[in-house]
Amino acid sequence: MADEPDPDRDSPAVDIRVTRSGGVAGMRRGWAVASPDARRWEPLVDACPWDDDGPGLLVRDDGPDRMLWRIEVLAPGPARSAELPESAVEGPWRALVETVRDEGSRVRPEPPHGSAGTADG
Amino acid sequence: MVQSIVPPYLLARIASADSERFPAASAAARRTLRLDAPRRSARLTLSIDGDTLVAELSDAPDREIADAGGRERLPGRVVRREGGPATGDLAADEAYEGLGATFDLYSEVYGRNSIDGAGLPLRATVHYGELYDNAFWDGERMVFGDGDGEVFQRFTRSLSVIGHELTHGVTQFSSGLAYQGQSGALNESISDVFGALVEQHAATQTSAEASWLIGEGLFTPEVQGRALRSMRHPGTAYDDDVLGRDPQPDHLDGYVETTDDNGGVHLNSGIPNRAFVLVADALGGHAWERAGLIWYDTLTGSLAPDVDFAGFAAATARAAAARYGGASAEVDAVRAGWEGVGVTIDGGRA
Repeated sequence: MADEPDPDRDSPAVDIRVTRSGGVAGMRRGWAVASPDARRWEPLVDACPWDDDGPGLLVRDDGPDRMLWRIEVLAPGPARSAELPESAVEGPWRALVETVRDEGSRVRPEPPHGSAGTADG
Repeated sequence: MVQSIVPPYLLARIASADSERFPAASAAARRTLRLDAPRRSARLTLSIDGDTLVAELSDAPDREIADAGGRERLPGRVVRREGGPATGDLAADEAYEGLGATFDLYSEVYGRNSIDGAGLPLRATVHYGELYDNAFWDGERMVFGDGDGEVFQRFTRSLSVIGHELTHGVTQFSSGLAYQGQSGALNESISDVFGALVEQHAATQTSAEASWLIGEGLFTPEVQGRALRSMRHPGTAYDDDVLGRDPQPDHLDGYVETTDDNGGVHLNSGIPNRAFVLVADALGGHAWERAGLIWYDTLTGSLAPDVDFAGFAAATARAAAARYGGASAEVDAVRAGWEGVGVTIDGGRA
């Protein structure tokens, strides 16, 4: 089922990665776009309200088993990222996420964001 | 003997029936209606004992299934109500039957009347969204997507997932475990525990016979995996080239610190999940009986919403001691179960 991005494209003009976590499945799913066509993607990226709630996580009050989305734009610059609860992926966010999913490639997700370690028990 | 599930309108008719002909039935129906807040269904069992008509009322589900028609708007159009005929739509009918099986476990085994313990109607919406890869509890209803058809099939296929979602409602109305970090992982684990028990209760399986898989049958045949999670062997449910390998830890040593997934609530739930299976295996027989009762007593006891693994483990030991005695095999099994996943019960107290 693998559909990896083209490894020959070094420093593409467009490098966008979308990761979904949570849901009842608790699975991480990933999609990525690497493209030379910055003009095609810049309007989609710029339309998103990146700074409305500052960096980091927005509200997480969706309730059990809802999904969380991480959106990372490495190019076109400036590099930006956001984490959104499922209910916030609307309007320009939804347009960007759905376009990456439709036109990008599925990628094997990296390990959970953070680190494995021992908790107090 | 006639057994039927009686919707409120029929209860009202029985209540107003000739009290000289059916004194027990009409009195029982009136009593049930008085308890209604605001509506309630009951299971009425009528039998003949000599010349006497005996009426027994027990709790019954009050289900309502809606169809979102592929949109992400709730609740959707109601397609089936309690006692109504099958719709012919697989998702709607699976949801209806799954809610009934979940209600039956809570009612028959734990004496709990629905999600809130007071007969709350069970509402669900199917066909939510387009290619929607999820099922969730929104605080008022269970919501099921149809899956994307590539990785996931419709989420109503799995009875354990239906039980899982409804149990989020039970947790909301009982301990209210915070959905973050260790308490969030416990919230998830409790949903897995009772989701698995719904499936085992419906199939009359013992702990040894059960698969202890959550979401078996949801994957398409293209996916290399059996289910979303394995409670018996966390971290082994799937290993697929796109999905990756099941990341659940089976021991506290593997606890995942992460900002994803509300602090890894679906990952670290593997630790208390395995503890429960160890307890159930040690006690043998039907897991919904002793092990399930201990977990249910704990969930509906006096847990702090932000309880951690150690605090929850201690609470299960106290619940076991309260029900079966401090020197019981049940307390020993609970302590050994938690020790098996690296969680120490504070001070060695039960």
